[in-house]
Amino acid sequence: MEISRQEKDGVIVMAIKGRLDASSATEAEKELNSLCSNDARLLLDLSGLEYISSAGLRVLLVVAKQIRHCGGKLCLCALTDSVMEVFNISGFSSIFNIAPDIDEAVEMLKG
Amino acid sequence: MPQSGFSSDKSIFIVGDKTQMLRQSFSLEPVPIASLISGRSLGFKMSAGILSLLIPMLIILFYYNYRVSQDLLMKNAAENARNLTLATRNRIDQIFLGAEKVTNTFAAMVAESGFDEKQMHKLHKVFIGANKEIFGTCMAFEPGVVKNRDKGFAPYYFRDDGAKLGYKDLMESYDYFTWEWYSRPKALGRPVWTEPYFDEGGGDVLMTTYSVPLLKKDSDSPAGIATADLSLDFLEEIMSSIRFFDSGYGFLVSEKGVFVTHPNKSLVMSENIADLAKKMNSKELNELSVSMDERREQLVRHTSLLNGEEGWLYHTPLKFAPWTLAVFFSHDELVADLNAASRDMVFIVVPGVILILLVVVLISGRIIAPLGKLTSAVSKIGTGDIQTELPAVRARDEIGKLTEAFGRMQQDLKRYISDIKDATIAKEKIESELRVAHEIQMSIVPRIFPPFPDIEQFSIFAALKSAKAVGGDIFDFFLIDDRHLCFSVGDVSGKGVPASLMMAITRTLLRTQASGQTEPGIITSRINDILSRDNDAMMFVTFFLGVLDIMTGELYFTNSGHNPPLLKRKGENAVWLDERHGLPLGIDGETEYLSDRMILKAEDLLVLYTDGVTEASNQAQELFNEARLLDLIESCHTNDPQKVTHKICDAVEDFEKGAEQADDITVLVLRFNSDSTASDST
Repeated sequence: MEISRQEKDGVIVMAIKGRLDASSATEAEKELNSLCSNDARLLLDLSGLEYISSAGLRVLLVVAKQIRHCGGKLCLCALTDSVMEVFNISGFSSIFNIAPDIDEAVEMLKG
Repeated sequence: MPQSGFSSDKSIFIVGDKTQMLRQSFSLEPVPIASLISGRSLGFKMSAGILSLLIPMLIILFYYNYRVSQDLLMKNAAENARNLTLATRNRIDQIFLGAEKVTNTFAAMVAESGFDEKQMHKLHKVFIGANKEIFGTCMAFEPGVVKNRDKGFAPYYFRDDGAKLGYKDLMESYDYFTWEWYSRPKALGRPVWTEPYFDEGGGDVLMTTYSVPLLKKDSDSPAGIATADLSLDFLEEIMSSIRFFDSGYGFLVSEKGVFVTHPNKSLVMSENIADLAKKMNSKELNELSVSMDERREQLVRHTSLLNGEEGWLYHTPLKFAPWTLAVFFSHDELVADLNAASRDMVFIVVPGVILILLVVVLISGRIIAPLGKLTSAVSKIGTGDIQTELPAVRARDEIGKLTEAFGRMQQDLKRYISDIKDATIAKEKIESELRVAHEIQMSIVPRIFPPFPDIEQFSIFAALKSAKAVGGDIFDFFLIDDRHLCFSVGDVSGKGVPASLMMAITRTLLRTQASGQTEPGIITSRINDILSRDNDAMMFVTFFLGVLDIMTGELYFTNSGHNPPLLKRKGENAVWLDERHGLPLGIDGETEYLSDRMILKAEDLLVLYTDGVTEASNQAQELFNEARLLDLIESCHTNDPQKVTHKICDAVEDFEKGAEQADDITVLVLRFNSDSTASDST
C-alpha cells in the first residue's frame, strides 16, 4: 500500500494505492489520523485502491469519526468496482460521502 | 671466481651433479617430507624453507670455491716445482758438463802428447790439481799403445785423504778391460757417464765416472779410455738443499733407475725403480719408471717413498746423462692453507646460519605469538563464549588487521545474537497471542455435530478454518425455545487477539439478547447498541442473523453488512439473499435494524459464509469470488449440509493451493427438512 498527499483548493487529497488490509491498516491509520485538525477537509482518492478488507474499512471509520469530532469534512472518490461492491455489501456506502471523481469531490467539500 | 676455463667447466658439472643429487634426495621420499612439514608451526615451516634453500646454496658455493682455489694452488705449486726442478737441474748439469769439458780437454792433450808416459804423469797431476771436483783420473790403454806396456797400462791418480795425491797402476790390481767404465765407451765410441758406484778402493765415496775414448792420431780405432771420477757428495748437498713447502724433497735417479740420492737412505744405490714397483706392486711407480725411461718432463701423482704421504712429483731428465731429477711435495701441505681457510669459513658460516635461524624463529615467534592468542580467542568465541576478549592490536600489520576484522566480526555477532534473541522473543509473543486468539475463537463456536440429534426438522453443519493470523470469523446456532433455531455468521474487522475478543463479546451478547427474543432485528439492534458504546477503535462486526421456526419453516433474518447468503430451493436455481438491513454492528449505536421474512420449504438449503470464501486468492492473485460459489452450489449433487460444507471448503482449498490462507474461512449450511416427518436422507 502507498499513500501520497497533495492539496487542491484547500482540500487535502490523499491517494491510497494498492491493498488496504490488516497488514497495512496500522500504517494507514497513523498516516491518515495525523491529518485531522479543525475544519480539515479531507479527500481520499481511492482510484488506485485494489482491495479493501474489513480492517481497512475500520481505518476509514476511525478517520471519519476523527474528522467529525474536529468539525471537518471527509469525502471518498473514484472507488473501483470491487471496492464499491464491498462498500455496498457492508452498507458503508450509506455512511460515507462518495463522489465519482476528484473534481466533484472537491466541489462537494468546498460547499 | 672462475679464473680459468678449465675450473669453471668443472664447476658447472659439479653444480649440475649437485642439483640432480638434491632432486633425487627429494623425490625419493616426497610423502614423508610433506607430512613432516604439514601440521608444523609457521616458525618451523619458515626455518625449514630458508634452511632447505640456504644450506644447499652454501654447500655448492663452498665446494665450488674449494675446487677453484685448489686448482689455482695446484697450478702455482706445479709452476714452482717446475722452476725449482729446472734450477736444480741446471746446477747439477753445470757441474757434470764442467767435468766433461775438462776431461775432454785432458784427453785431447794426452792424445796430443803421443801417449808419452812421462808426459802423461805430469798432465795427470796438473789436471787433478786444477779440478777440485775430480776425485781421481785414469788413463787406461789398449795393450801395446804405450811404449813398454804390452799387457796394457792404466795409471790412476786419486785424492788420498784429501791433500795427498795417490797413484797406482790399475793394471796391477785388476783386469780393467771388462769393466763398464772401459768397455762401454770403447764399444760405443763416445764418452759415457757410468752408473754411480761406491769406490771401494778409493775411500768409500759414491762416485760416477766419465769415460772418454782416446783416439790414435790418424786412426779410428781406440787407443784407450780417459776417465775422470766425480764424487757425488756434492749431489747429496745440492739435493738436500731443496726445500718445497715443509716436507718437500728432491731425489735423483740414474739411467738404470737406481736412486742416486733420496732422503730415504735405504733406497740409495740399492733399489731400481722398476724392481721396486714390482716388489711393491705399485702401478704408480711403474708408470713413473716408464716415464723416466722415456725422458719425459711432467707432474704426476706420487706416494712418498719416504713416509708414504700422498702428493705430487715433478720430474725432469738431466742433460749430461739420462738421469732423472724429481721434486716431491705433499698434497696435504699444498692444501693446508686452503683447508685452514675453509675451516675458518665454516666457523664463520655456521654461526651465520644459526644467527639467521634465530632471527627467523624470533620474527616468526613475534608474528605467531599474537596469532596464537588470536586463534585461541577466536576458538573460544567459536565455542559460544562470545564475550572472550581479543588480544590487543599492537601493529597495523596483517595480524593487526586480522584482529580488527575479528573484533568487528565479534561485535556483529554480538549484535546478531541480541537481534535474534529480540526477534525470537517478539515472534514467540506474536505466536502466543495468535494461539490465544485461536483458542478464544475455537472455544466459542459449536463443535459438536450433529448438534441436535433428536430434532428432525432441520439439519445444520458448519466449519471454521482459522487463518494463521486469525481473521475474526464467528458462527453460532442454538435453540431459543422449543421451536425457534437461532443461527448466525459474522466477521469482525481486523485480526488477532482484538478481533477474537470482539468475537467473544459479540457471541456472548447474541446469547444473552436472544434469550426469549425471536425477532432478529431487535436482537441485532440491541447487540449493536452495546457494541457501539465506547468503541473508539471503531471495531465492527458484519453479521447475519436468522431465526427459523422449525415447525413452519418461517424464517426471519437480519443482514448487517455481511455477505449475502445463498438460497437453494429444491428444484430451483440458487439465488442470493440480497436483503440488507444496515451497517455492520458497532458503528452506529442508534441504528434500528429491521428484518425480512420468508418461508423455507422441505429440502431448501441456506448457505452462509464469510469473505474468507469469496475473497480467497490463488497464486495469480485471482479471487474465488461469488460466481464460483454460485456455480459450486448449482452443480452440487447433494443437499446434505455436511457434504456441501466440505465441498465448499475443499474447493476453496484447491483454489488457494500454493498460496497461504489469508483469512478465516467459515461456511454454515442449513437444510430445512419438513414441518412433519422429514428424514435426513439426501
